[in-house]
Amino acid sequence: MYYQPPIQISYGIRRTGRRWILVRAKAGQAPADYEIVGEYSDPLSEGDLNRLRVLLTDALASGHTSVNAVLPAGEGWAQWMETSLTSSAKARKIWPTLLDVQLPFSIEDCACAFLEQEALSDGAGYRALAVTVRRSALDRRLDEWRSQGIDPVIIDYEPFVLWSFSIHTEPPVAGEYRVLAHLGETETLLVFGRGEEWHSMSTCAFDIAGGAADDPEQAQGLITRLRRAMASRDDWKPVGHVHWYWAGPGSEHEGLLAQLESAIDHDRFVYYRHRYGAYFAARAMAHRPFETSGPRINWRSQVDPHPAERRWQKRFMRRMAAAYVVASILLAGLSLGVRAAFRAEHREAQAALRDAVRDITGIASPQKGVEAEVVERFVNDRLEKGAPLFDMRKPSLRGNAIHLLDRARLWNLTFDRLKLDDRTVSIDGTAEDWDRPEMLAGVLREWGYEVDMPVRKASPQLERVLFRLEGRRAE
Amino acid sequence: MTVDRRQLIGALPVALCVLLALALAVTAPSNVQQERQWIETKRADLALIENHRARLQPLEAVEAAYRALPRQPLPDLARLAVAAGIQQAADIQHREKRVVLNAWMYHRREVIWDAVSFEALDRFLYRAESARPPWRLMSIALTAAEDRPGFGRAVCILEGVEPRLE
Repeated sequence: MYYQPPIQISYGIRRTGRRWILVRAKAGQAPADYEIVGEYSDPLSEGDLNRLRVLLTDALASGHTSVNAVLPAGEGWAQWMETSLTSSAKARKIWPTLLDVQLPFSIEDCACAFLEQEALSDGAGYRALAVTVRRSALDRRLDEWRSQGIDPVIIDYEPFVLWSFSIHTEPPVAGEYRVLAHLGETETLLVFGRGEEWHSMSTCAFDIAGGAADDPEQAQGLITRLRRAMASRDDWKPVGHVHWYWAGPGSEHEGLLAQLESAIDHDRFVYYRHRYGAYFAARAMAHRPFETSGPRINWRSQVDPHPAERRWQKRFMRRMAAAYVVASILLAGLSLGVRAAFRAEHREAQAALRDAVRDITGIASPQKGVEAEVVERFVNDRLEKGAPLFDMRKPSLRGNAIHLLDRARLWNLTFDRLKLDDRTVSIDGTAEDWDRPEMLAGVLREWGYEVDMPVRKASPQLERVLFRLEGRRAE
Repeated sequence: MTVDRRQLIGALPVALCVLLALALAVTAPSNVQQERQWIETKRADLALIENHRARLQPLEAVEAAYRALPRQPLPDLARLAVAAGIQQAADIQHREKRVVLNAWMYHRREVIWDAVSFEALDRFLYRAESARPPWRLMSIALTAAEDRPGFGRAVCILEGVEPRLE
């Protein structure tokens, strides 16, 4: 789990051949504004020791301060490794085995890390920057610093720190090759890279503190070692311009640089000099917590995390836990809220149903799920019981009976018998001819009866015809 | 106890919280779906109930009309016959009597005359149907008298609804 320590103030402490340099950087500050807090002779005097101890202890007590040191390049080992495994997870597991084969000592005795794992450009596997240090060397360094009252929070690897600071202060041209040559007090470090990418490094002894810079013979020896270091980079074959940056106390020696540049002159090499001279490395170390590019490692976390880092981690874990809890509460709240909203809608629908049933049937608490059936039964029952009220609204038969009697008078019909109700009609009578009963049947048909004349016969005695009309209609 | 185990134990409540939230979130869709189905069922039932309510409306309108009538009993048919000028006493049979919707009484009566003037019968029926509350002629059977035109046997069935007077 990655966390960004909340560092506001950072101290870089560097031990050179003859002195200690302490640089303070503040978050957001430009490197040029970093403050050189002190330079102390090595070994530290009792007074300096106390001053340094008090200063750093107070600074660390603030909770937002880091004290940074580096492990010299020669005490560690860093190299890109490749695997043909195309699974990122599997590649991550194979690195220790691959590293173990290359190390001259057991990997169990080492602290190691595999940084910047990435797929190969042709997709045929992965590569990672393996960096390792023997635990004994790390412990020895830590003991040494502690004996001087210094308890670094971050112990990075010198080539990484210097390279990162170099590309921070002098941003690279994308794709172009760069060499950082740090002419340290006792050792010269070459870091090879391309663009922002850290590639490899090489060290060679060159005792500037002992006056080697002014000694042409020793300078010649350095030239030879530099040439050899460059020649041995099998996997670093620069094309185009190579930007060569001098840094460190040696870069303040004009004569030495002139001699070196003329000796290793190359058409494609362009030489630059970093600012800050002897303070370059100390500033780089102070800058370290604020840098996000380039490879980074904190050996201290791997062997014995500093209490400050433990606190940061705890705080980070607490914040993460709080964030998870808050997110969980929000998620749970959202889920419960959605459920509650639907449940409320369900209750509303149920209440509307209950109210409707109560309104129609007067039943206060109808059984759930059968409300519609209850209402249907109630309505059917009520309609059935209320049918007489409807019947009373039907048209009166009196009018029909009167109308039939009127027709009889008009058409000279005689009715022997007339029977009329809502569904049936039956008339027995006599007429002068067959047309009149047919006309009467037409009247009945207009009222919706299906009319039949089952009896029709002549009556010679009466000189009239006898007829019977029967009709039926749906109610 | 190592730091890692302590951290692990410390993380347990958080993990439980997250698990609980995830469980709630994962089961929410099915829960919501079920609630939605219930709501749809309830709404469909409510629509059905409203349809049934609509079926009741004509009856309610008729009830309202009956309620608007004077709260008095159906007029006596024998008196109506006398008032219509029918001298012959009618044979009046109570065919049916029942309570309607707890508020009214339904009556069905058969009125028989062996020889009645059809003209007087019409007056009788007119009076019966014009009364408040009214009678309604639901069936009539007339048989003409052979020797007396305009007279005959009449069998009328009348129905009527009157307020239920306690």
